[in-house]
Amino acid sequence: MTERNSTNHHASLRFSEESARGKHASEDDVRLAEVADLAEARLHARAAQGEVEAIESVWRRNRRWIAAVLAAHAPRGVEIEDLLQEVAATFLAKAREIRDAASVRGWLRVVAVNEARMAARDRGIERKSLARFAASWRGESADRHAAAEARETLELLARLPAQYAEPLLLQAGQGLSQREIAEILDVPETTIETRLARARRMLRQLVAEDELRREEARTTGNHDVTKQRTGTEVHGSMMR
Amino acid sequence: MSNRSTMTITGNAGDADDVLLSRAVAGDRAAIEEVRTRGVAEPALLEEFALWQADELRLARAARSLDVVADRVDATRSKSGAYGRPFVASRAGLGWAVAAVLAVALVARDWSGARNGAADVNSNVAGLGSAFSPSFASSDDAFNAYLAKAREEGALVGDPQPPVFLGSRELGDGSGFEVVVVRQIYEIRRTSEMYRMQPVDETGRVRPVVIRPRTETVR
Repeated sequence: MTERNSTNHHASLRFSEESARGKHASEDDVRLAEVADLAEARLHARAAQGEVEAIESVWRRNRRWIAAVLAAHAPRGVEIEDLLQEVAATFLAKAREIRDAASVRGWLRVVAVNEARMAARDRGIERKSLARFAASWRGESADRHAAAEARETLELLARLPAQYAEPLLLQAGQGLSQREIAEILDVPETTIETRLARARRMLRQLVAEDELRREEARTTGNHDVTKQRTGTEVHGSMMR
Repeated sequence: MSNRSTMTITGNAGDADDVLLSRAVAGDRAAIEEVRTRGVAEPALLEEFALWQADELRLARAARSLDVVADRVDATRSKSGAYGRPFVASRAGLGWAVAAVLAVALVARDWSGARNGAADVNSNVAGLGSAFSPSFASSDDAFNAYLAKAREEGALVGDPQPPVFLGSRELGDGSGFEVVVVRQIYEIRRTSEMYRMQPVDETGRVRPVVIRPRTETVR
């Protein structure tokens, strides 16, 4: 049990207070956040008693960011949805054992990362699930352009090391605060802040390189240029 | 919030600017204000901020595709062993070749079942007639009902692909065209054995032969 874990009892409350405290948060906002936390604590208590409806409700509140964690860590050849099923099944089986409502998120994240690592170990392969997901993603929206852009963005994200892709997906994709991410990953908030900044810098460079190659391909008519990027990963001084 | 933006940043100026921009695109008002103030003298910083904001929008849009996947998984309907199941015909993995073999396996199972227990099959069909009489307004309704049920049971992989156009003929009465399409549905079925239908003699008789195709080995 780390020092961070010992402070998790009030983590949920802190999350909401942080959100409510923004620049113009009123006392009413803070009160509403406290009520929301109380409701959440009661929901977790019901889940811990094995109430299926409560377990499902807790799961639905968390499954999107868990999918983001899996996407950042999972290996090639494994569907994110399949791993998510594993995490869900584990949660359903063990929900009664989680007595501390505030630690649910950290617990779920550990289960998710373990599932991803076990899948990687079993197959002896590197992290590429996000790239695979991106390649298979056809977009369930009618907007082809949006689906293509989402695919390209996920492909770029797959080239970031997991420790950078994970907090970036959690913040930019799921809207979690640095503090929430720090609680989930069980690392200091300052570390998350640094990782987020570096992740965004890496992504910016990848996007810029990608756009440059596309531009070159357009002007030279050599469309193979755009394919060269797929073999490169982010290395060197960016990975500190 | 302001204390976060005035936090001492170790490292070079580039790192400090990256942290500032990162906070700003995440919505930290103090950081946004600082970018705006400094941007008067450093237009490059403002330009960088705009690019980072564009990246942030891209990320948010891309994350929606993961949300779509996440929203399909419920705890109470989750299946442990989803990625470790003994046989999976996945959309992007094994493909149509294995799907075709699986189809053969199902046919073979039905064939052997019919041979070994034709009476049971017939009684089941007869039973369906009396106990289960679904009513659908059209075959499309029935098809959609099938998709919904298959999705509920976890037997449907992804969404059905758009129909593949095979050909068309003009109708002689001038009322329009007859269009032939193929509807593709990716399904997951489990089977303890897989078979290939093998010719027995020159009359065209076939028999099922157990095969062990080279597939992905999963837990």
